[in-house]
Amino acid sequence: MRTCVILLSFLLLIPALAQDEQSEVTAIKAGKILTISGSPITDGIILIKDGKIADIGTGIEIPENASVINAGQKIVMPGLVDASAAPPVRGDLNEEHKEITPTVRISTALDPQSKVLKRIVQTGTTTLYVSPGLRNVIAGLGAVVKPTGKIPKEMVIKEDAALTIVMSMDPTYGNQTPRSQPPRNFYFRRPTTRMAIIWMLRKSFFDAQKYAASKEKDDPEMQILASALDDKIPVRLNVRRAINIRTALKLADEYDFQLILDECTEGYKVAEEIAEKQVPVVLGPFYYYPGSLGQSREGREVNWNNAGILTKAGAKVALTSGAQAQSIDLLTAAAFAVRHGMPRDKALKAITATPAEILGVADKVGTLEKGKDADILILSGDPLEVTTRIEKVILNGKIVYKAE
Amino acid sequence: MVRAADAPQHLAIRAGRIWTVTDGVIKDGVIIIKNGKIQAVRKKPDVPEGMKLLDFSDRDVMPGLIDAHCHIGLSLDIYSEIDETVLAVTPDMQIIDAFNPLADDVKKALSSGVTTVLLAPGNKNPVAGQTAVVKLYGKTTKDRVLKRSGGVKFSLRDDALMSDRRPTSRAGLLALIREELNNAKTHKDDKPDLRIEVLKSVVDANFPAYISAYTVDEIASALTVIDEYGLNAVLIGAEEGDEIAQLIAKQNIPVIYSPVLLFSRDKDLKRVVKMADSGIKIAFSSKSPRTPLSSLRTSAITAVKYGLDKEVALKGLTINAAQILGVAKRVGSIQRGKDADLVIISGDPLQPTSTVEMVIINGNIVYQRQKI
Repeated sequence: MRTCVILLSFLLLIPALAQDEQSEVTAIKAGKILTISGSPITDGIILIKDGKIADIGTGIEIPENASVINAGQKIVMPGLVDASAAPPVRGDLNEEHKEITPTVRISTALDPQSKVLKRIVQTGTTTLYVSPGLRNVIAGLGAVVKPTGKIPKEMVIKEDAALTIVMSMDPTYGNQTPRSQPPRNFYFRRPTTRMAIIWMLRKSFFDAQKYAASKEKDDPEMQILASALDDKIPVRLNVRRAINIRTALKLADEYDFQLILDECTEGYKVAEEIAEKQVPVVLGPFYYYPGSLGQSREGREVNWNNAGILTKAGAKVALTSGAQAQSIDLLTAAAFAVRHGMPRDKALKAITATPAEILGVADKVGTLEKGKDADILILSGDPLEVTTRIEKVILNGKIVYKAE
Repeated sequence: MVRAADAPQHLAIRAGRIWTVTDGVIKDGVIIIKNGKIQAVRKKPDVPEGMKLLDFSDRDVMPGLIDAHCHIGLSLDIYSEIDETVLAVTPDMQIIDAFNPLADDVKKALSSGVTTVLLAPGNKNPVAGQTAVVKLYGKTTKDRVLKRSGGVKFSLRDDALMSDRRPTSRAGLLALIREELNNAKTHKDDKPDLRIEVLKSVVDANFPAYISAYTVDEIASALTVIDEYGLNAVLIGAEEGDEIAQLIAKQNIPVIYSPVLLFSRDKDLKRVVKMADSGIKIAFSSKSPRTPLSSLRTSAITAVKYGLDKEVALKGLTINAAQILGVAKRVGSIQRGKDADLVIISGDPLQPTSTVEMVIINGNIVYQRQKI
């Protein structure tokens, strides 16, 4: 009987062993591994299996059948996480027919063949947040995606990751008052002022509270707003001026939703208040506006010390490309932030672990730890050095970019 | 052109080869037609006495071709006749109401060998209206119209986006379609609403949805919506469908393919072949007036040139198209009991040198090639 059991267990083991041999194992050997979650590993090894990190550390035995990527004395770090990336979407980012459009899901407009994906991968970004545009007061739902996959569904790793709400002046641009002539199109409408933006927002929240309390549940727009007020979906509030930031903090208190501040150009003016409320901040875009371009619009000044001041005050900061394809890349943004006063370790976290936490995908990406996705960069030198280049980008265990 | 005012009750056609499509090729056979229907397909060349005989012993006969997506007979300025763009959602519009069977382009099209077409509204409305299946000739409406309403056309194309009307963005387009389908799903019968009832039949009663989608992301969105609502769907266009052919095949969605003749690169010309090889049911279309109706057969010939199986190509012009449009009981093959829609052609239908010599619809000779 016992032999029978032993035989049986062997028989059961055989397919498992066979599968073990079939699944590909990749090993990366590197002089220095910046895990971000802990202290750097010298002369370390990362084992990758099924697109995940199977093991990481020193003195790990590399299986015979493993393909080895020898990075020599180069530096290895986690793939970057852009909490506000240039959107790989075709056509208009905004559904402009009205100003409150919570049911607009940007993930339904993802284009796997988009050209911006190429640059995203080349600059080392392996996870990105895609948001609807900023032309509506309540613009819609964003998604966390990876720059890989044949169809939109394969790209998405987190649907309905956040609700985009815009308090900056963008929703007013182009709107007109139907005073002297009958309205010709839907742009004859509110809001035309900062006041009206916040009024519309308050009204929507008020309606959502009323909806949540009522029995009829047949309005998908109100459903989404209600679940944002119920803390099920975080709210990404786009704010630039200090006055708006203060209003945002007040609204979050009033309606008790999970707040994330976007752009936050004048964050340094209210850093203490932001830190006190423990509200995460997603900074960006960082670029210089040449001469007359865009001068009339708010929040176009670049304050390089913004990240440093916010961090020192104790706020959680992520550095991003600010949904602009022409913005500087994440590594450069981190380097500039360090130059202007952000601590080095915080700057590295601000492009990896912190945005992963803010996006709610910290269990999958952001650091190099056992069990996480094998999204790995191999760099020619220190990540914050301007002369450093990205040599290889590994996404879900596969090399997706190689420097020539 | 010869128009038979009174078609003989009985007619026999003797042919060198009969391409039945469903029963293979019959050499030296005879087709007996009675009252506009095929009464018999015989494998012997003798004809019963007293019957009018059309002798095409050195010619081929095939079923009338089916153009699975076109905008023929919609008269005047085509682009204003097929898109009612004031509202974005117009499932209650019927394209048949704009069809003029006596239009010039319908008469001219008879020489192409096409006998049945799917008429569809345009791409500028996310929910554009109801399609129709008609014949290019018929004495009465009953003879001519196979399906007054064959399904609802949806558009996931960028054409459906407008700067001054909802939707303005792709995400908004999908949100709008979901909103409408959800509304239809939860609609109560006590409040009659024609618009919603049409969509309700799409969501609840398997009324076909013809979804226009060309690029990979458009097709992927279409597949998601089809899956979500369990729609009885057909894809129109699907130009880049080969990239996700496995997914389309897995969901078993038939495709009405864009005119192959619109393409010029080898890569694009091979796409339809790859899709058919993956097991997707394909029907060809001319999208007339984008390409003339006469190019429908050329599209299939071009696909054969790039590797498509000849039988699949012929079926894509006939029986597969009929099945996709839901009219296979009446047209699409040469079989006993079906309508006598026949094309007499000078040789193999998939040879570019073969010419259409005569077209018969419901037993009436509607086109005869002039001898030069």
